[in-house]
Amino acid sequence: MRVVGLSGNIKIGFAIAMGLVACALPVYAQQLTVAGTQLAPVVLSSPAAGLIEKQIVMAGDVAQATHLVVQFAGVPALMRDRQGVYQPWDLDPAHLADNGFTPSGDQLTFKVFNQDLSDKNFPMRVTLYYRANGELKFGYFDVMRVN
Amino acid sequence: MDKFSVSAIRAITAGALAIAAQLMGISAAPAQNLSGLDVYRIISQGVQEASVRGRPATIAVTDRVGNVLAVYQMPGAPVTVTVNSGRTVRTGIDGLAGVIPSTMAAISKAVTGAYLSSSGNAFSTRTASQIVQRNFNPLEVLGAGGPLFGVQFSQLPCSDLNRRFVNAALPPPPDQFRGPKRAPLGLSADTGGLPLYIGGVVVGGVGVLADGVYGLDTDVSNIDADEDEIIAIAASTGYAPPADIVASRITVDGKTLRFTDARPASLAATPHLAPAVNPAGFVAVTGYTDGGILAGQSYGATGSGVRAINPAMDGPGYANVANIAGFTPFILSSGPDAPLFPLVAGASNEGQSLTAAEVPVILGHALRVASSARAQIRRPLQSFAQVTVSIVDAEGQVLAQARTPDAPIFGIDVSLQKARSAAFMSRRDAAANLQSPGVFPAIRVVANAINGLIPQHAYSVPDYVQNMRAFVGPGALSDGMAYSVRAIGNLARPYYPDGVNVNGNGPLSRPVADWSPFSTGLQFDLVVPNIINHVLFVRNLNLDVTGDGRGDFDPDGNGAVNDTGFGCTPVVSNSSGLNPLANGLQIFAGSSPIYKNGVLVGAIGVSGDGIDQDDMVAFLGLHNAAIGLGTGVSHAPAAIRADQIVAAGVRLRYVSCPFSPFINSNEQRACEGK
Repeated sequence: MRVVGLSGNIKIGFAIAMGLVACALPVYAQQLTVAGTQLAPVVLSSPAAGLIEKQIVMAGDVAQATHLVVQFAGVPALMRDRQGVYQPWDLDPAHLADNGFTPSGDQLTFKVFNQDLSDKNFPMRVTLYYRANGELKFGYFDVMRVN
Repeated sequence: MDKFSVSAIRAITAGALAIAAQLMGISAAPAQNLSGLDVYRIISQGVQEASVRGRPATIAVTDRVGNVLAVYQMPGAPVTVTVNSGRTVRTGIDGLAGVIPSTMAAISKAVTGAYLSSSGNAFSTRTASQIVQRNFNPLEVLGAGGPLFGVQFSQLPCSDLNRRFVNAALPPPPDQFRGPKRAPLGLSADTGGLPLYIGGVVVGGVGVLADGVYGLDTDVSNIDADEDEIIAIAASTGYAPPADIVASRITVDGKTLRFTDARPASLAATPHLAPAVNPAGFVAVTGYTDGGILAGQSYGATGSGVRAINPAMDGPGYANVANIAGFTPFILSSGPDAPLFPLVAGASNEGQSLTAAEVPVILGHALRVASSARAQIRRPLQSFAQVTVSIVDAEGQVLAQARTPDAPIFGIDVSLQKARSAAFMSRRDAAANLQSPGVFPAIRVVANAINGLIPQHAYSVPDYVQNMRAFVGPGALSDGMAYSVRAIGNLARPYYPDGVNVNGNGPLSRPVADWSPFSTGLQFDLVVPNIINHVLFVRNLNLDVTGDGRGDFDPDGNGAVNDTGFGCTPVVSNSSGLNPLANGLQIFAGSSPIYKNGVLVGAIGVSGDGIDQDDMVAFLGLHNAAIGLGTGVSHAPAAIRADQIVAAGVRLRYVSCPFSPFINSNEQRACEGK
C-alpha cells in the first residue's frame, strides 16, 4: 500500500493504518458480466470538450448487440441509438437499441459522447451492455468533472 | 341538529378556515436570503466568541438549500475530528480519529441546521441528536428508537439527487447554485449546528467545530456547556429563529425537543461588537467552496432550485398535481428552469407499470392529505403537515416529486430514500441484488481501507440477507412480501422489538455492542465506501491499496483523487443494470409500496413532519388516489404486507397513523381497514 503524493506525517499515519490490510482486489473491472461490473470512472477537465469513450475486454465473447444507457441527476435513463441519438428508455432490456459497435480484436469500444456537456449536471452514470450467447452482460462507470 | 354536531361543524369550519389562511399565507411568504455582509457578520461573531474563549474554531455558513457560503478556520483550530458516539464502539466510522477534516464536520452541522428547519420549526443538531439514537429520549430504557433514526445517513455526498458545488474557476453550469446541495458527512447530530433566520424565514445554517470531537449528546437530562454550541449561538446572534418555533416549544410523543443548551447569557463576548477577521482564515474546501464569501440564494426563487409549480411551464402532469392538491406545490428545477424530475411513467414490472396519468394523481392526493394533516413538529398549533412526496417505480427511478411550500429541505432527499427503500426491499430480487457478487469487488478496496482504520468493522452486505432469512424466514427478500419503510425500520434497530433494551438486534442492524449512530447496519454498510471515498477526495489522500502504482481513486493517474460517483450503494438491479438505491437506504417510517393489479410497480415516500404523519400522508394519499383512479393501482394486498410477518414472536408494523390526525375533522383511525 502506498500513499501517493502526500506530506510526510499524513503518509505515515495512513501507512500505519493501512498496514492492517491483508490483501487487495483489483479496483475496477475491464469486462462486463451478467451480474454487472464497476468500470473505471472518467474525469473531464473540460466538459465543453466532452469526448467520452470506453474500451472493454470481451474475454472471448462475441457480441450480437451492444447497448448504452446514460443517467444524469433528475433525468430519466436515456439510451443511445445507432445514430448516436439519446432517447428515453423504459428500463426494459428488450427495448434497448442496438448501437452496432464492433470489436477490434478482443476489445470493444463504446462511443458515449462527443459534444459540449457544459450544461449537464455531473456526475453522470453510463451503463454499457452487450448480448452474447443469449446472455445480457453489463457494467457501469461514472463521469465526473474535475473540481 | 344536536349540540355535538354543531360543535363538530364549528370545528370543521375553523379547521377549513385555518387551512385556507395557511395556504394563502404560505403562497405569499416573503423571499429572504443571506447577503455576503450577513455571512461575514456571522463568521466574525463566531470568531470573536471563540477567540475570547481560547477555543479556535472552524465555522461554516450555508444557505437554506445547502450552498456553502463561507468556511473560516482560525489558527490553532483542530484540523481533523475524532468521531465519538460515546459508546466506545469501533465499527463504522465511530472512533475514527485524525482522518475527517473539521471543515467537513462544520459544513454538515450548518447544513443540518438549515435542512431540518422551516418557518414552522427551528431544529438544531442538538435536536437531531435527540431523535436519532437507539432510545427516545436517549437513555430512556424501553423507549423506542428516535423518530428520525437513520436520518444522519441522508443528504449523502454520493446522492444522485443532491447537487454538487462547481469550482468558480471552471465554466459554471447555468444552475450551479441550485439546491439542495449535499452534506459531506450526511446530517449531523453533533451539537453546534443552528439554523439562521431573517424575518422569521429560515435562510441557512451555521456549524461550529472547536472541540475536535464529532459526536452527539447521549444524555438529555442535563444542561451542557458545549463550546461548539456557545460559539454557534454567538455567530447566529441577530439571525435567531422566532422564539415560538424553536424545538423546545415542540413535543413528540409527549417529550419536549431540545434546541440548545446555550443561552445568550453564556456568551463571553458581545456579538455585535465583533471586530473584522483575518481574511486568511477563509478556506477552500474541495467539493464545497473555493474559499470566498457568497451570498445565499432566496428559497423559492428559481436560483435556489426549489420553486412553485408553474402550470404553463411544467406540463399538464404537474398542473394536475396542483389541481388535486388544492394549492400550488413546490418542485425542484434544473437547467433553464424545467422540473428536475419531469413527470414520467414507470418501468414495467411483471407486465404492470404506473402510467404518466396515474403518477400525478397519487402525488396530488398525498399532498392533499398533507394539507389537512395535523402537523406534529410545527408551530403554531393547528398547522398542517409540510412534507416532500416522492414517487418511484419498482426500479427506484424517480417518476415525480413535489412538496408543500415550507417543508423542511431534508425531506427532499429523505422522501426519495424512503420510496426507493420500500420499492427495493419489496422486490422479489432484493436478496439477489444484495448478494450479487459482480458489483462488490471494486468497492471492497475501500472496505478494506476502513477495516484497516477500524479493524473491528466487518464489511458484509450480503450477510444481511442471511440474517434476514434466519430471522424472518427462508424466503425473505425474495418472496414478494411488501415492505414499508416502517417495517424495514423495525428490522433495522439494535433492539428487537424496537426499544426493548434487553433484547438482541434486528437482522438489518448491527448487534448493539457494535452499533452506534455512526454504524447502523445495512444502511451504513451500503454507503461506507462512498463516504470514505469522499473523505479521501476532500483531503486529496491518494491511497494505493492495490499497489499498482496509482491511486485507487485516481485511475487516470493525474494525482488527484476522484470524488464519489453517481449515486450511493454498489447495488445494481439485475433487470435494468441501474442503481435502485442511488441515494442510500432509509430506515424510518413514511412510505408505502405501490401495486397495480397485485404486482409491485413502485413506491411513495414522504418526509418532513412526524413519522406517523409522514406514514399517513403516504398511506392515505395512495389509498385515496387508488379509489379515484380505478385502474388497478392499490396498496399491497393485505395478505402480502409485512405486518403478516411475525418474527421472534413479534409482528412487524406496516403503517402507523396518528391520533386526531386532521385539523379539519374529528376523524380517528384514519388508516384502519384500508
